[in-house]
Amino acid sequence: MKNKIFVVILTIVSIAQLYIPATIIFKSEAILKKGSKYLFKTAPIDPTDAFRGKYVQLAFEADSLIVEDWRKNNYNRIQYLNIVKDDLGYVKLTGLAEKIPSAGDYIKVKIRYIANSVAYFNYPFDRFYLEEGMAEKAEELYRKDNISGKQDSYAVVRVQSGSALIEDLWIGGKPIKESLKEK
Amino acid sequence: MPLLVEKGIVSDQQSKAILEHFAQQNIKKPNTAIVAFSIIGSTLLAAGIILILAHNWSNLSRAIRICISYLPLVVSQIIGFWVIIKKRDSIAWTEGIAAFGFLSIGATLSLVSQTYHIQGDFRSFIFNWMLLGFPLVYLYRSTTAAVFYIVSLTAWAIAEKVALHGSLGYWPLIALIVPYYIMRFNNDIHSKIVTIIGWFLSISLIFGVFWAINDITEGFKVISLIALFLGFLSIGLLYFKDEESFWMVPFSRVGLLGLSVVYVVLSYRDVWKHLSFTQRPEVMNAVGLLKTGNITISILLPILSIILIYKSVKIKKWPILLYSIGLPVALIGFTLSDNDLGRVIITSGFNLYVLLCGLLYLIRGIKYNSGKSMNYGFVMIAAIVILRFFDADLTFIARGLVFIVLGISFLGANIYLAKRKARIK
Repeated sequence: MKNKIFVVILTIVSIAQLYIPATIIFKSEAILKKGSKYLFKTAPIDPTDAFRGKYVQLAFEADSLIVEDWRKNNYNRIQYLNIVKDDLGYVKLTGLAEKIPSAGDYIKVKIRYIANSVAYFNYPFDRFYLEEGMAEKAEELYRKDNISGKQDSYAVVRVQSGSALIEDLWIGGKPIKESLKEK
Repeated sequence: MPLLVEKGIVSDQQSKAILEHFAQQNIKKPNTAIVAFSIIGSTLLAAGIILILAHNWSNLSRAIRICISYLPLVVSQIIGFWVIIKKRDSIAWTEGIAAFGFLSIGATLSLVSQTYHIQGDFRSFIFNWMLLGFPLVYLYRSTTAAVFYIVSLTAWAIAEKVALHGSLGYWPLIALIVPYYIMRFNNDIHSKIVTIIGWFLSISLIFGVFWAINDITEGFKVISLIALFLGFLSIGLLYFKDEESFWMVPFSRVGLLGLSVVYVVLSYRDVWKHLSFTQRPEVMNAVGLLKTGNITISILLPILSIILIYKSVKIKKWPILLYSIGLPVALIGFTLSDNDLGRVIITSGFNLYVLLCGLLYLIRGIKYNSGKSMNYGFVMIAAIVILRFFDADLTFIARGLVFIVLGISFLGANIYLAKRKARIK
């Protein structure tokens, strides 16, 4: 009898344990399927920051915006970044807002700091996970390409109601996995 | 045993009684080594499964990656059902599966996040992890899970404090583990389990006072800390025997050590400059305190310890009275310390107070032949004397002399005590 109660409790606990990670999966799959596609040009990263082992640390060209009333946009605050696409699919930033915009795509970003009326922020996606060993090579590729001046590296990002996920990382005009195979 | 019966050393009945006695002892006291190995083994197993399956991670499809991410968790749940139905009385099994289950939740969460390149925010990750792992404590009556929970909760509180301004959520969440401790405590107060959780719980609570209280005046924080340590000391005095070894009585050790450190720190004049209640008027007003919710902690803690102190005094545990004096003195001190004269008075007070505590312990140690008591008293006195001599601008010779005098009296007293003990024996 006593065991029965514990079996019931374990069943409930197990369902909860399975459900919480599943919410991440459902939400992410929805973003990847239905989200609008944007290309984010990558930028060189701070070399001291480079090697992380299991992922490639990313930085993006579009990481700041001029804000008029910058005193309001204090640091560490969550803000909503309005974005549009240019003809080639690359992202263009159009403004920062305190409240959720009523129209158009937007991404929730955290303000890193503000200097001379320019707000710098962190995107919720700045890591690309690869398996150990591969990430190191990938980062080398990423760094070389980003300082070469060719500017043909970008992240494919899906955006849906404020959330954004990286779909793939392109380096030298190819998906990173292909570039790594050729290496 | 059959040999002993044959030779007539023990009778048949006696032999049965002896065997039964040992059999019962075996049931009561599980083999620590087996329990430890089952915990370590299951932890390694969980890590191993993930490493093997994930070695070709990047080339796997998303669906397969998710299946792999879920594998350790599902395996732990299946084994869990078996343990609950068949092996609920085996400590090795329940502790092992609880450790495995707890860790696989974290593994699944982080592998799923990696699959979607979500860098994840440490706070929500560890929060989900500890809450999903928490039921395992009571489900398997597992101390390993309890320790994991306490550690991750403490880490969460610190991360929360760094990112925002406090994490009052720590308090109700740490309260959830207390019934488990009490259950174990009522079951067998001298068990290793009670000791282990005692250490983790008491140290976590110190972090709690430091980190899980929103911005308040440092003075209030010190008051809460003193109250916490007094509470610990009372619990130790009320429920545990003093003769137990150092590791067996975490609450009194942490309490006594904590109080000694806090009181020695309060004997510094500069410290008081930052502690004055008037330093931070904006958080001093009652509305501000209520708003941040701290009032509950910084008032509840002292009230709780006063109850415990009262209980200890009733059974004549005198050390608690001696150490309790510091609480009202500190409280008065915080209101006095906004000017130089006040600070001089209050620090002199604390210097004398620590000296008095040390002296009383020293005398008690010599009187009752307790080396522990005597040496503790010595350390307290030495701490105050050395610190004050360093503050004062004295020559090296003078400082050296102080050290020599302290060293000789320390050695002399110990030799004297050892000799007297030998004589009594």
